[in-house]
Amino acid sequence: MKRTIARILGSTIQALVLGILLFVAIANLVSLSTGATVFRYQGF
Amino acid sequence: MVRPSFGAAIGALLVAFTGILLCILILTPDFMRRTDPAMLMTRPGDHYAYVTSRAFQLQEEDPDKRVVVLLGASSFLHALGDDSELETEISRELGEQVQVVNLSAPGENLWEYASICDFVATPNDIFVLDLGAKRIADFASIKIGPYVKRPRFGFITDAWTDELIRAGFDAPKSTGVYFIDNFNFFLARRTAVKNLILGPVKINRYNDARPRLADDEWDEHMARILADFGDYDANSDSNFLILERIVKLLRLRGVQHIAIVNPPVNPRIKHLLPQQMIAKFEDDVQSFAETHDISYWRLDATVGLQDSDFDDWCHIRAPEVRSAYSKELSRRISAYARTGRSDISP
Repeated sequence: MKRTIARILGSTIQALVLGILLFVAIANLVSLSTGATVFRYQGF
Repeated sequence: MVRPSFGAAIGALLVAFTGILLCILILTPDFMRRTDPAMLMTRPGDHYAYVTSRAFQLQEEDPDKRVVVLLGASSFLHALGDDSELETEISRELGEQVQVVNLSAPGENLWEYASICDFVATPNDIFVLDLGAKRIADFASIKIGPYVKRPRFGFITDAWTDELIRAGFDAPKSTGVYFIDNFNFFLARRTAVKNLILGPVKINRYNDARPRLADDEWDEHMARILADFGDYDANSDSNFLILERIVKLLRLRGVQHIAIVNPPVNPRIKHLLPQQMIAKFEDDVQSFAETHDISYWRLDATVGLQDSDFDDWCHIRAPEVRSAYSKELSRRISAYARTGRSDISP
């Protein structure tokens, strides 16, 4: 029983960490491919 | 020992998917209306996030309230003090509480004016548009092209789409989901997530100014500015047509008071500007104002601007001069609102 709980807990932590990293990676990848940047005026 | 698990892999995909779903569910127009602009900004001078947020907030205002909406580029933004300065002056002159919202941003162009007008205009508003010769000579569709795929504001309006189509671009694809339709706006601001922990950005709308030009930098600066002046004869007709569509849109919304303001220019370099173009612009803009019964103001001479008041050819640096400029503009707006008569004055 204890081992099952530990396994579920371990998988959940892995899922959360990997999931957040995956989300950030997708955002960075898409921003690179679309060139989404905050506009900075070059006229000054 | 930590072993990779199939469950964790599925879980990671679910977490990432949930992240995207949460963005769709949280980042809605309602969220934009309720959120402090400084929470969406990535830096003190993130003008386009600021303007987007303020424009959303304006939609929530009581339509009976009188709002002065200022639209312009960086030279206009830098010429004016805080919105509250103008608010106090105009409210005192008119004897009623007036709200002033400066939705100017560096490089803001006529298409963006049209889009903002479409987004916020209500009948009681007073619209003041900054317009100089350079703007009318500039901004042929080729210059606006880069903003077609990545609009700088976090909203897409019918007026914006209409201008795109007229210029030969495809209309933006709309899914009806706010986050997806404005995906690039949010994606560019993903680092604003840090504001949840560090707190809102300290807004400084003059933050992008650079130090005053040194004497030996002027020649190069002016050469660059003059090279950047567009072709007035080629572009003026199409730009005045955009301006005409903006005026018509505002009239359709019931807006009575529309004014054009000529932005400030450093007297040090006035003689270097293309004089023929400036003269033609003056004639054209005055005739436009007369035809459409709107006001046209030039404030430079009245405020008495001097070279030392500027950072460069058009950006005012001195806070006391911004106050003087704000006072003069407030005086003109108040007189216009009180009498209802359009005024074309030098």
